[in-house]
Amino acid sequence: MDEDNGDRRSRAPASDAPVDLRHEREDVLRTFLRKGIELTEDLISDNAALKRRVEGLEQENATLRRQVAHDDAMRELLSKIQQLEAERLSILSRSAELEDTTRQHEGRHEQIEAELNDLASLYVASQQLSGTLKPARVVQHICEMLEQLVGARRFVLYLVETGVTHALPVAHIGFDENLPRLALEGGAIADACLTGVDRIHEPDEVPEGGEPLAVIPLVMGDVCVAVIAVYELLEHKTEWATVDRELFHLLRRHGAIALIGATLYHDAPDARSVLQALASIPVQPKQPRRASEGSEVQKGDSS
Amino acid sequence: MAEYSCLVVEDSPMMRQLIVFALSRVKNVHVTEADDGITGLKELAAARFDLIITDINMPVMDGLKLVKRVRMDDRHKDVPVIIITTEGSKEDRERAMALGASAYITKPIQAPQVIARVKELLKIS
Repeated sequence: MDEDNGDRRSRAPASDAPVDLRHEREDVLRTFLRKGIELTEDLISDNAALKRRVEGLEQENATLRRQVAHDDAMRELLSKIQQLEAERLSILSRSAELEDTTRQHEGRHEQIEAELNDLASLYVASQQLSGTLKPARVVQHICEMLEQLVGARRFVLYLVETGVTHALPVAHIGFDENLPRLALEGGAIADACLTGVDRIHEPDEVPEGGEPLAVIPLVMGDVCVAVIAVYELLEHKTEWATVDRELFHLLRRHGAIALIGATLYHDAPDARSVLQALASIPVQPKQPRRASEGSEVQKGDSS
Repeated sequence: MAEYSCLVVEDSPMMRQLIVFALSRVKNVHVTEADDGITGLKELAAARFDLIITDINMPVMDGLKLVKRVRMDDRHKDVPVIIITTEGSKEDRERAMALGASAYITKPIQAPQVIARVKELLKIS
């Protein structure tokens, strides 16, 4: 029946169709067309939305690509920074090592300078002490050593009399009055004269009973021939320097020899007569030793 | 390189030798020695010096008189003078500085101290 109706609709001319049908058909057609338009518009809208989405994704993609490229560059930069940081630390470490070495060298330099200064003082003292054969000059040099090199302000040089009972002051500095002959009955000076051992207090120590700060016996072999008693040092000298002890050692050993030598020479009529004693020493003829003999001796010694 | 002449006036041979030793370590400094102020003045009359080092306590003519005479001498009035003194003799030191001394060194002298003062006054680096 529907087929028959359909056939009739398609076969019947529009003008012949009833008005209701025609309207209905037009409505259907309009609806269809409207729906088509709406669908098309929806499709266009969706298409536009999709296009925008694609563009957005493309932009996002491009951004991500740039980001990736940027991250690579960043990673490269970070790697470079790390490398530079490592180099910086290495340079700093090397610099610290060099500074340390420089400090060590500076310290060593100062130490060498101080040692050189000490050696110069000892050389000058030794040369002056043994550079004269006048007893008064020897005494003057001993006093200068104490005053100028050690920095003693008040001191006495005593000669020890035979029997070690008394000591005679032959030079003193820093005392207003003349000093008397000293009886060696006790105390640091008497002990030093008897034993030949020096006694040195630290400058900030105050020895009891007005005893000297330092007592240096001048010895020849085992015999003490003179003694130095230091009572006071210069104000700014708060401690003994290494060279002071070396100077005391020099005075102890060479002071006595210089005093004895100069006194003997003083009593002699002339320089040649002093050397006459050498003439009495018997001369032993000796053959020069050959090198091979020396080596044999060494071998013999070692075995 | 500039050469400098220095006059050392000191009565103690030991001290003089030590000062000469210290000066020998400064390049191009030639030293003339005098053992008292009068001998020092004679040397000053005979030659031109760039630096004078003098002790204060000396026989014949002491260091203070020498400094005074040096400052009155047209030829040497601008020459730097270093005085050698003991730490205790503050008055002497102040007098010497007032008379025109340029610097002072205290006893017992140390070579580095002498070298530093000499280089400073002669402007040697």
